Amino acid sequence: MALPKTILIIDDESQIQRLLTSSFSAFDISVVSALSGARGIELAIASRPEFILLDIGLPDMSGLNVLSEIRSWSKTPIIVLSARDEEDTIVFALENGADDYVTKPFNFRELLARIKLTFLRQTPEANSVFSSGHLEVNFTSRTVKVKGQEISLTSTEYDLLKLFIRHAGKVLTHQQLLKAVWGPNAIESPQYVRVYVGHLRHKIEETPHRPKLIITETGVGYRMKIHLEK
Amino acid sequence: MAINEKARRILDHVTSSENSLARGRLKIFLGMVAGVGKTYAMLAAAKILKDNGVNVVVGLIETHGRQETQQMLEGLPILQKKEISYKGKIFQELDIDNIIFRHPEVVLIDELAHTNVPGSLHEKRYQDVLNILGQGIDVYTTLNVQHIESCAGVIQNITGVVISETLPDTVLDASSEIVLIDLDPEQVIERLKSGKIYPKEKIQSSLENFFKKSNLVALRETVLRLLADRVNVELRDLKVVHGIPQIWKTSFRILVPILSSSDGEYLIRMTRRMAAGLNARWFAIYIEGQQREIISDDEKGLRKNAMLAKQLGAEVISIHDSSFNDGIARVIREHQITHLVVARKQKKISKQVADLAILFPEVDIVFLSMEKNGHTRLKKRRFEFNFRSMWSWKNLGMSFLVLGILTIFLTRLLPVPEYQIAGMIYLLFLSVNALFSTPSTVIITTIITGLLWNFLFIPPRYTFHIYSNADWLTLAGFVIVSLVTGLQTVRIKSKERIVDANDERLGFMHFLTKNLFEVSGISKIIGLTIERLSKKFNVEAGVILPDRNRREHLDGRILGEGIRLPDKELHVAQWVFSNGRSAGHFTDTLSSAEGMYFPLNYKNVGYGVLCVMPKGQLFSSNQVSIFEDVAHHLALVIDKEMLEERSRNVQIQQASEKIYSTLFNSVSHELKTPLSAISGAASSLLEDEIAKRPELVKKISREIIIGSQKMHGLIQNLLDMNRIESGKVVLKKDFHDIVEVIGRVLSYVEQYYPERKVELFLSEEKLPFVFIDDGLIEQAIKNILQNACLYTPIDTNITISLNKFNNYLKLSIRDHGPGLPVNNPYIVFDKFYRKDNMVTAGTGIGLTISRAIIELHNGIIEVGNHPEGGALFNVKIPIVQTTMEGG
Repeated sequence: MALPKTILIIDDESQIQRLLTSSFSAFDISVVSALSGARGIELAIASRPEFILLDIGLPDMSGLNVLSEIRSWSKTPIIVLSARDEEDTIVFALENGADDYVTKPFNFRELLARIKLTFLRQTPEANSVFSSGHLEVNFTSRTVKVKGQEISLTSTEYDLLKLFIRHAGKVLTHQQLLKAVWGPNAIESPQYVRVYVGHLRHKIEETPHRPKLIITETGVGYRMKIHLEK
Repeated sequence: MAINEKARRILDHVTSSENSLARGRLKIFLGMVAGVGKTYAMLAAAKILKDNGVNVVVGLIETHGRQETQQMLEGLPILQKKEISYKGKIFQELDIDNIIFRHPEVVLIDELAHTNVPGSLHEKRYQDVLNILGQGIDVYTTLNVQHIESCAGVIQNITGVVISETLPDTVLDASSEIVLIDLDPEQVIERLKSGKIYPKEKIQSSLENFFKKSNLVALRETVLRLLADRVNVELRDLKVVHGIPQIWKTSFRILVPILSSSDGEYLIRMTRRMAAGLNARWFAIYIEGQQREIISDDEKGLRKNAMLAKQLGAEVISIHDSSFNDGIARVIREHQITHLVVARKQKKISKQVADLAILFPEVDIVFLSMEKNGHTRLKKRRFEFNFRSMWSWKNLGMSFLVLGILTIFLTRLLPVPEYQIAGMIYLLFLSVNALFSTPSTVIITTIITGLLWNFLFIPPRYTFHIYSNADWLTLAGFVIVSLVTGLQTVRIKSKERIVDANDERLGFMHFLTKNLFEVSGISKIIGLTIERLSKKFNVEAGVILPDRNRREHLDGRILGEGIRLPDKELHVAQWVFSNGRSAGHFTDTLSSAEGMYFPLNYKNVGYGVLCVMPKGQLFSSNQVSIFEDVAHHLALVIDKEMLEERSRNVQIQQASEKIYSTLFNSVSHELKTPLSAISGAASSLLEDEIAKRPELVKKISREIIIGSQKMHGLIQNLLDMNRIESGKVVLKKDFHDIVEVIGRVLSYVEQYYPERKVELFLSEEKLPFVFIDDGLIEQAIKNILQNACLYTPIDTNITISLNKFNNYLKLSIRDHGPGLPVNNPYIVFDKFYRKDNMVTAGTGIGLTISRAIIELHNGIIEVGNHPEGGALFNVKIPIVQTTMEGG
């Protein structure tokens, strides 16, 4: 129930296809394989998967094109697979419909966790309370507590934190954060985001330079991690 | 009589070293006198060729107004001549370029001995012909025997007519065929009388002068003897083809001194004949004296004779010894002379020659009698002071002036000194004066001083009379002593000057040689040479290099001056470059040019042209040969330089190949290790016994992950290094919190090296943001830390401290391990440097990448050993001022 029943994997590497098919089968997930972008689009329509894994570096057409094509008529969650050093492409994908990303070579556990999270987020949550590790946030009362102590945040910092929590577990690009917190017409540079994230970290993290809550995804953005234990 | 085929073939073999298969053949129609029918015969031969389909053209034919000759011209294509204007008149000369352009098989050129009008490419027509032959075109030409060098002297003596146009015998050697147009003297006179040779007006005078029967007979004999000699030579040359291909000259070596007079000329010509007869090498020796502004007649005569000797085939040696005999002795020894030719001017053999005879008993001395030909007595060699040529009014005047002042001083002195003292003072004056005077001045001044002394000082004073006999003796002694010391001083001084000049010249060459070999870089070499040359000889020197694109053409610039040569001069330079021979002023090619041009040739490769512009002074042939030496030497050095450059390139290539091979070896090794771990682990998972134990499976799987991460890290390193080196790295710079970056590195370390303890010290709480590419900087710091983790003992600490330092952020990473190599800690940044050739852990390029990244950020990494032990890395990154301060 927390996992999709069918996943469409669009990737030209047959070895990965085989591996993932075997691995996913242990979780009762059936895999539909497409070795090219065109085939992927076909199968996206035909098999109507609950989840899509899309490799950005496809041979026949740009993975981004596939992304935009599918996104034009579907809201199926998509995680993009990319090589390292393709941060620009990842950011673009994230801002144009991808829900998250994973870099190759990837860790299966991490991939699974991301799939779970993304799949869960399909249903919007309207929780009034959030906690992760030392952090406790009550949206109704607009209080934030760290290790039981209440701390004060500026409104921007609060908005930022709220955004992170709302998308906990999911990566957010600098632009997405900017737009969400500073408005769609924000002209400030991503620099602002970094500074405010820094401020936030100083307030809510135990060791600000070794953050456990708001993690930097180098070159892409930030991700709020959910810790279930204190 | 035509020389037979065989002999001709042999001649072909034996002709000068430049003889190649592509050379044209020279056929000379030789006659004893004008009007025997040489041109006619040549034209007849040409006609036959033409009828046989050979491409024959007329280059230049002098008909002298003779009808028969004119008629023979019909039917043969005549090429245009070159018009050269000289002193207001237009002259028609041979157009070599046209001929070469037309490239006929055979070209007819009359009068081989002709001298070209100034402004022509070559001074003499035979040089033009040699040029044409070099282009592979055959030439037919005509020649009178009187124009041949070795015969000219004799003929001049016989006929009494001065022969002005001559050509060297070597040209005859270059010919492949000589056709003798022989005519009985009687018949020649007949032809002359009937007007077939010269126009009516000239017949009578000719009959009385040149065309006397006795002359004609003698001339005929000369020609026949000349050709007979040549046959002898050719028969000897037969040995070359069939026998041992050794030096075809016999072991006789003849030496003749070059004298300045006409006697000297005779000596040379005779020696030449002797050499030809003995089939020997011959050498001519002459003394190189001091430089003078105006060259005396003697000097001119010497030079002329030296050139003559050269033309006749001698090897000219110039010596600088102050004594002629010493010089001759040295040459005899060095060149193993077997025969010495000397002039005999009087009955008694001169002491010099006698000395030589004693010194070299094995050398044959040939005494050539001068009187036989009515020559005047030889003049004394000028290096024993030639009285007349060392006269200087200026010098004499100065001496008298000083003498006058001295005398006035002495007579006015109160009390007037004793006459002996006055004498001493005069003696002193004369000694000093000799240092600055010519011999004639010394003699005259001595006499005058003696008289003055007598008159003014020796009692009775103011008379020339002398009382005591002792005083007479004293006066005599005075004069003798002054003369002897004075003349001796002069002689020593002049020798000194020769030695100095010699030293200077040698010193110059030595200096040049030494310095040139130390300087590298072709432009520096050239620059140094030009500078030295210009300074030493007071000229303007320059080097012209070939055009970069069209290597056969010269680039008109002069290296060093940046001036362009005028076109006319450039032509000369171009000629020199193309032909590999010197030309210009003071040489015998294109001597109307302003400058002297010497090819920079070494091993037949032309590197350019050395150009020397005199500033009004004259140069002796010795100095010209210095320039040639310099040019040759320069070419040598350039050649060496180019060789070194090529070798350097090869070395660089080898070095880079070495790096690549090391890289490949390293990479393949590094990849194999984790790969074998992975495949080993994976295969063990197939074992049922293992597969059914989940904790084992987990453990083994982790190994697989670690292995693949290692491989991934390595490959990433390689890609990074490649990108950095190829300059393709695009920095994505933005403002970042360096602390955050370090934090990520620490997480990485925690993950992969969990046992290691790393401490972070921040000096100020709030550090400014830095404008960096955070991914790359993270990588750079990660590599340094990884290095620390790998090369230091597990239980030791690693500390990172971060603080602001002027305009930089300073990041210090310190460990407690063995530290870096003391002598050269920076060696750790070298590619593939690994401590003690450790086989594990990385390819050795991690730190190289770190440094490259930091440098891309305009930062620096300093390394060293911490005073308390361990290695210390200081990374400094500049802070770019922004409007936002972090915190």
